[in-house]
Formats: sequence, C-alpha cells, structure tokens
Amino acid sequence: MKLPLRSLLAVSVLLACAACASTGKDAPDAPKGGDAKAAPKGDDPDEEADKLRKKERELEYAKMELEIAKLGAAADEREADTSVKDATLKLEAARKDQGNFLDLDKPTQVAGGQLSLDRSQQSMEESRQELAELEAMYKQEDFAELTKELVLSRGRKRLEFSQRGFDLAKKGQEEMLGHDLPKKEKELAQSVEKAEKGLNEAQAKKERNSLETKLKLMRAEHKVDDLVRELDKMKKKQGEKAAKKEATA
Amino acid sequence: MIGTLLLACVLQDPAPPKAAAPSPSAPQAEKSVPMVGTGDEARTSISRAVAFLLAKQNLDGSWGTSSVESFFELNYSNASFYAWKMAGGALCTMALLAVEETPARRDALERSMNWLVENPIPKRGNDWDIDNTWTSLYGFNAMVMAAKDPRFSEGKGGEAWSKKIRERGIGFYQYLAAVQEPAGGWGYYEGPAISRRPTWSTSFATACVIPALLDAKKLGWPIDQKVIDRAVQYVQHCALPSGAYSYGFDPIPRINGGENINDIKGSLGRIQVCSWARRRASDAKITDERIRWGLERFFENHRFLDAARLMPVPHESWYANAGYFYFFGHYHAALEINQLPEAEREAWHAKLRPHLLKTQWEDGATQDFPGSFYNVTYATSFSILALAAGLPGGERIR
Repeated sequence: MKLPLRSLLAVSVLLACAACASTGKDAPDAPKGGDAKAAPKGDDPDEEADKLRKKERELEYAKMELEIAKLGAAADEREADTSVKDATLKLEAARKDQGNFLDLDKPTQVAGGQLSLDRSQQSMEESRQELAELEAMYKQEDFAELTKELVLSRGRKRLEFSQRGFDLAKKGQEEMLGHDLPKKEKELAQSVEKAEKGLNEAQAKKERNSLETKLKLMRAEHKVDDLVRELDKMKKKQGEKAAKKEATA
Repeated sequence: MIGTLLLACVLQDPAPPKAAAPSPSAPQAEKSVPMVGTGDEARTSISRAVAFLLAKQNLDGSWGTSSVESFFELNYSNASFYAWKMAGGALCTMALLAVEETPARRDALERSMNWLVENPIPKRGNDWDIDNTWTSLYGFNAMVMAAKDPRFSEGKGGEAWSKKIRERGIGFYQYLAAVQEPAGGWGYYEGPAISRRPTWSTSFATACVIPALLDAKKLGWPIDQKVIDRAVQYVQHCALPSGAYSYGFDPIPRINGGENINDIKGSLGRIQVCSWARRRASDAKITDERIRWGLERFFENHRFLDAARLMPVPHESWYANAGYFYFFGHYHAALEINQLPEAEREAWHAKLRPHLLKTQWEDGATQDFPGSFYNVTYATSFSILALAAGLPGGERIR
C-alpha cells in the first residue's frame, strides 16, 4: 500500500507527542529545556546503566566509609581506654604519695626532727656540764688564771652557741610541725582530689565517645544497607524492562 | 650536778675488771717468739744495743741531727727536730747511766751528759707544735737519774757535774712548771686555746715525769709540791672505770663504744706508766693486785702493740694504737714490774724480754716508728732501759 508524503509527516508528529506524554515524572534526568524530540530517559538503556553504575559506586563509597568509621571507632576506643588508664595511674600515684607521706615520710620527719632537737639539747647540756666541771676544777687552786680564763671563755661561748643552736633547732621543729608538714599534707590531698576528678572525666568522656561511635557506625551501616536495597530495586526494574522488551520484540 | 656525779663515778677507781675476750679479727701474736727470755739474753742484747749507740754518737756527744730526715715528719715545726734530738739524747744518756760501765761507755756517757747540760733548752716550735715538752720531760728524767748516780756527784769532778746537772735539771723543771696546763698535765700539742701556757695534755706524758719530780724534791731541788700534786691528780682523773687510762684529759671522761683508744686494748702503752707514777706518788689505790692486773692485760693483748709497731701513720692500728707506744710501754712495764715484791719480778721480766729481743736488728738498734734518727735512739734506749731494769740492780732505774 502506498501512503502520501503529507500522511507520513502527520504520523511522526503524533508519535513524538505520545512519547512526550509517556515520560512525565519517570524521566527526572531529562535535561532542562531538553530536546522535545529526544526519547524518554527512563527508557534510555545507557542512562539506566549510568544510574546503576553510579549507585554501585555510591555503595562502594559507603562500604569504605563504614570501614573507616569502624577503624576510627577502634582508635577512639583505644584513646579513651588510654586516657582512663593514665588517669587511674595518676590517681594511684597520688594516693600512694599521700599514703607514703602519712604513714612514713611525715612520722619519719617528725621523729628525725625530734632526734636532732634532742641531740642539740644533749650537746648543749654536755657543754654546760663540761663547763661546770672545768669551772669547779679550776676554782680549786689559784693557778694559770689567764690560761684558765682563755679555756673557760671558749667553753662559755661553746655553751652559748649550743644554746643558740638548740633554739634554732626548736624553731625549725615548730615550723615543720606547724607549717611545712600540714602544707605538704594539704597539697597531697589536693593532688588526690585532682586525680580523682581526672579519672571521672576520662571515664565520662569514654562513655560519650562510645555512644557517638555507635551512632556513626549505625549511620554508616544503614547507608550501606539503603544503597544495597536501592541497587537491588534498580537491577530488578532493569531486568523487568529488559524482559518486557524482549517479549515485545 | 650530773657532771659531778659522772666525774665521781669515774674517779672511784674500782677494782680492776676482767678483760674482755680478744676480738676474732684481732691480730695474732707472733708464734715464733719464745715465752720467756733470760737475763743473759738481755745482757747480750744490751751489749749490742749500747755498741750501736756508741758507734752512732756524734763527736759532740749528741745523736742524730737537728733536721728533718723523713718525709713522714715534714709537717712538724723545724724547731722540733732539735728538740727531739735532745730528748733522744736524754734517753741515750739514761741508757748509758743504766748499763755496766766500760771506759768507752763512760766516755760516751760524759760526752752525752756534757752535750745535754751545755746546749740550749729547746723552745716552742709554733702555735700547735710544742714537742719541745718531750725534751724537758726526758731531759728532767735524765738529770734526776744522773743526780742520783754517784759517778756524777762524788769523787773527782763530782761537784762540778752535780752543779751542772742540778742547774740543767732545774732549767727543764722551770719549763715544765711554766707549761703545765691548767688541769695539771703536760702535752706536746696545743689545745682549744692557743696560749703561752698550753691547754692540752696527755695522761702518759704527765705520768712519765712524776717519779722524777718526786725524786728531785727529795734531792732538795726547788720543786713546787703543787706542780706534783696537780700532775698526780691529773693522772688520777684520767683513770677510767675499765682500768684503762684516757689518752687526754676530758672534764667528763667518755667512752664512745666499739674500737676506741680509751679501751684497755688501746691503753696498753698508758696503763703501765700511769700506774707506775701513781704508785711512786703513794697512791694507795695502786696495789700490787692492780699492777699485776695491768701487766696481765699488757701481755694478754700484746698483739695489738705488735700490730702497731712500725706502722707509719700514728694511731692507724687497732684501737688507735700507734707504733711509738711500743717501747714506751715496755719500758714502763719493766719499771712497774720492779714495784712488785722482789720474788715475783723475774718471772714478769722473763715474760717481757722476748718482746724486746725479737725487735732488735743485726746492728743492735731497734725502732717502733719510722722517721728521723731520733726514733732509733729513743727506741734503742727504751729497750736498753727496759732490759736493764730486769737485771740485778735494775731497781735504780726509776
């Protein structure tokens, strides 16, 4: 059968209109201000293949991001563990220092200071006794008065210096008991308190980090899961189209 | 008050305590030394020792030099070497006075005596070194010994000698009286205060001259009894409860514990001279029993003196014994033996002799401390005197 040229042109225009009407919302990738004469995108096999490839890539990226998130989570956990361990050690050291001070250092310093004080007092007492003995012996006879005075004057000075040394030692002991040791005790208690706070802070930070990490991982896993599902859908749809086309042909 | 009580306790001078057992690390006595020595062995030793002294005597009658001859003694005052020369010469003179006379020995004795009385009495060396005190201590001893010897007081020339000896003896005494420290002793170094009259002294230096002071007073020399009394009280004060004598004078004597020079083992060279002097001063506490106790400790612990002999550093041996304690200690042990009843003396001397004989060298000399030649003269002389004291007539060595 033979058709006239005018009839052929009219058929082409109709087909084009029909094609436009069939695309609608199913052709989101159509270029803006696109060619009205182009075929609908959803039906373009190349376009479909690109979409699929892009989705597959997205999935690969998401999987890698998930791996990175897992490694990051492990690193964060280790760091948090280290922080807690360090804080624990600091607290232990501070408590040990405090215990050592209270149980050993403080009593030793107090006893050592007292021993020094007692020695100083005994030395002073011995100087006093020896001077008294010398004076008593020298008084027995009028003899060598000048030499005796030289010896006695040194003895008196020795006694005076012993007395002054004892007074200084006494003041030193008082300062140690009233100032140095309480100050040290307070400093050590503050160190323990600070270390306890540091440990609590490290433990809280670890818990917070743990939740944040869990969330990150969950998001990454869900993203992978979503992409897998999308990809499956796309592949299924593409398979159906291909089957339909094959049946039509 | 406490000091007075302590002092009273120390001065109680209790009965001699029993000595502690020797420490395991203590040096052992020389096993080759015989247990006893005879009088003949002593005479032989004396002959050889005197021959040595005669051979080494200078023409002027002295021994040695007035100069330092040893690196060990460079720290002393230069003046001390003349002082030691004269102190050693005094001991040589005493040794020659103590031995049997021969023409050569008489000649040597007169020359040494002449040198002693003609040359200046040594003066103090410096602020701390007053070793010239030794010269007056032994110079005085020598003059008193000579004054009692008829050879220098009777017969031809006796009067002239007697006058010179008396004058020189009084010269030595005047020095001693001038430097007797306030507590009553004599020393050879300065003490806590540097002064014309020294302020440090030792028990043994003080004790060694007390009998001569007593004898000099009997001789009619102008000796102040107070000088003697002070010295005797000083030595009595140095007596420790253990039976030992403290080295120096402490207002309140103390023992530090452990290995100390004031233990018996560190006091072996002092116990004999101090007891001898106190006995001569009629101290009733120094009984025969006390003397025997001291001699027993001397022999029981003799290894400590052996170990120290010839050690070059003073007091470097056990219980701070020094080499120069040896012959000083043996000489005074011999004198102390002669204070015991006559019947028991020979046994003690026989026990003492081997410790002198074993030290004699081939040339007849002996020594207990390294140093200049005076160390040889004093040691050899002390040995002669100790051995001579154990022979008949030895009692005149006092």
